[in-house]
Amino acid sequence: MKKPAKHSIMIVDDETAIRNSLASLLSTYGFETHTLASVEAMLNALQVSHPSCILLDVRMPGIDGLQAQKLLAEQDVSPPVIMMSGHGDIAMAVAAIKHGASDFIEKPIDDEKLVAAIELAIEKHSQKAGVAQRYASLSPREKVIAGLVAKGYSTLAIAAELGISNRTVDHHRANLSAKMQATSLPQLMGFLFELNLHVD
Amino acid sequence: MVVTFVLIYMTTYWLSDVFRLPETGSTPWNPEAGLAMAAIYIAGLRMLPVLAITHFLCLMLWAPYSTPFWTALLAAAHMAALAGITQAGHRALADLGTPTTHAATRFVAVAFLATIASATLQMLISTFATDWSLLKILRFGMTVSVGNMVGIVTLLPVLRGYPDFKRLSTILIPANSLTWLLFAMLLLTCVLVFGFESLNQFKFFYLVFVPVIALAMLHGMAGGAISALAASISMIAVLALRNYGATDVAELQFLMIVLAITALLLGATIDERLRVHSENVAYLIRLRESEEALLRASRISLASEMAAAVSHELAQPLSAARSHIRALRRRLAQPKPNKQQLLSDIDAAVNQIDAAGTTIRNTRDFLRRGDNEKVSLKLAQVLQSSLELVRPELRRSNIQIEERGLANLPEVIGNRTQITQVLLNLVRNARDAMVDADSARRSIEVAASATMRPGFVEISVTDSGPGVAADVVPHLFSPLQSNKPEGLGLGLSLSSSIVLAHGGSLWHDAAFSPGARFVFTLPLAVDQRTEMQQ
Repeated sequence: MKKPAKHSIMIVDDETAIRNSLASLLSTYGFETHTLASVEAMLNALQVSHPSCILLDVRMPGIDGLQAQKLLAEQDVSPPVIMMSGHGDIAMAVAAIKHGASDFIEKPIDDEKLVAAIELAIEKHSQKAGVAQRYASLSPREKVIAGLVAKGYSTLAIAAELGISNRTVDHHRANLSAKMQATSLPQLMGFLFELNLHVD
Repeated sequence: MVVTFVLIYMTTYWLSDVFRLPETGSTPWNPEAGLAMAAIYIAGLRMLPVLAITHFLCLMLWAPYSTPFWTALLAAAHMAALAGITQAGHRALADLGTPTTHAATRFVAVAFLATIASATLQMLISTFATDWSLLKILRFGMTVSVGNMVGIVTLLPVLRGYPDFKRLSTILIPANSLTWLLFAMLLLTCVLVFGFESLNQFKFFYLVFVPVIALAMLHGMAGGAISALAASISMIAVLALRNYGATDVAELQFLMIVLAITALLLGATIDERLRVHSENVAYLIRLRESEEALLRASRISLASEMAAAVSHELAQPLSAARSHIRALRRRLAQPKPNKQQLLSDIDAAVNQIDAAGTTIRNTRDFLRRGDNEKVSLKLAQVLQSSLELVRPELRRSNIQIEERGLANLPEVIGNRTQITQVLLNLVRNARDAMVDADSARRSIEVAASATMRPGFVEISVTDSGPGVAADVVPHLFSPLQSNKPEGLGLGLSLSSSIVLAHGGSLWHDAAFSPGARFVFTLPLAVDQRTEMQQ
């Protein structure tokens, strides 16, 4: 297993035993851990620290994991969240995924699966961050065209929509692909989808 | 068999001959009448010819009556009357097998009817067969009646059980010294009362009642029947030895009839009471058993509601322990493991496994078939471990549990499982009330305090829910009344009976608002009482 850079993981669970045991276990994988007993404490901590990933228990007194996920999703930049669910909480975990959680993992925790999920979530998240960064480097015109491409407009349709020539559209599209570092149309579409450009 | 019977019958008749009224030739003591009815009862009407012929022979031998024709007619009429009434009253005689006051009364009626029927026929025949005056015929009928009645009421109850004399033998064979003493006293009384002419037998006859009634009370109808028979035979024996006149004997036989009937009725009443008592005991035992089963079923239902929470409660520590052990393994695989970290992982894993073990033990203790034993209990400990059982599910329902005065509680007398059940029920009801009403603030307070009533401790469960609806209050503690769709409606009713069985009481504090408060009291262990008063 490749040794990741020292990522910091925030563990949020109301059960002290679960928090501490996960912290101990994840430390053996070289993660830095930060344990918190409630969602409220987590929201406070997020003001000052920026963990690479959050492990969140689905069921907690007060604000539960699902509500917490909704709160986090409203924020612009939030670390990826992995939900931890006990037996029988699968429905809740699925709901969390729909609301944007990266993954869910069932208790009792299998550490190898957990670590794989954490690494995948972190990687996806950094990819997404890269895409957003590259998108920011686009010119205003290219951003408009990127939006239309994401909605499925063809070159002809874009030209008609913007009242410019096909040649000009093709030129902008080539620049767009180059700046987004996409080697094919499907890959470009994937990036644009990640940025949610296909919806207004 | 028949020959033996005939010989016995004739011997008995011969014995009855000790007293014979010279005037009418009738005898005031006719045990053979009881013998004849017993024979008909056991062997049926086919005994009738044998009986009639035997009786005819007896009359011819010892009591010549008019011509052989009239004697034969008299014997036949006598036996026909006895046999007819015996057959008609067969059911009443059979019922005497399980003696009741009713059965004994019907038996007396059968004996009386048989006597009257036989006497009437004999008097009727006498008007044709003899030249007796009406007065003489009446006197004849009277003596015959008394003699037959005594014979029937003393002998028939004892003999009707043939060939099963087990019931009777159980009284005499394993008899305790008291039984023998009473029989000895009976014999002695007869000797004293009838053995001295100077004594007034009629006045002292009542002394015979004492041992007879005592035996009837001791052994029921069988005791009454045997002692009445014994009294009758003893009396006749003593009177015969003392050469009493048949007229005196006839008068004494009236009293003998009263004695025998009293003994039978009293004995039957005693038997009936004993039987009802043992039926009651059996019923109470069954009731107790079903109550225990109900308590257990209710515990299981409480526990199955708990199951999700319990399995969560088990999964958590096991999951934690697993993580610690995995961490341990990974640390050991490192080139230079940190010993301190290894030890801390081991300790943490052991702690978590212990926690899981405690949960399993608590649940099992609660589910185990509860005995009814009430012992001195540390109330604080019982309440705490009960709350541990519900804590997880309360947490899941977002309910805060507050404890007040639960430390330093005195000892109480009670059954741990049942007290746990009561507390769980009240807490569970509080939870359901708040969850159903979707209360914003959810808290349950379990508090213990001294009460106004000395020697008791009071435990209250208070919730912040909507309270008990006014229309529910009147039947709050009635069984099978539930506001919950899946509820059996036994919780509060059972809890209330548990607390009552402990000597305490359980009530709904109607004055408390907002929310609901239920309170129950438990008696303190004796040596704790002074302490709690202070």
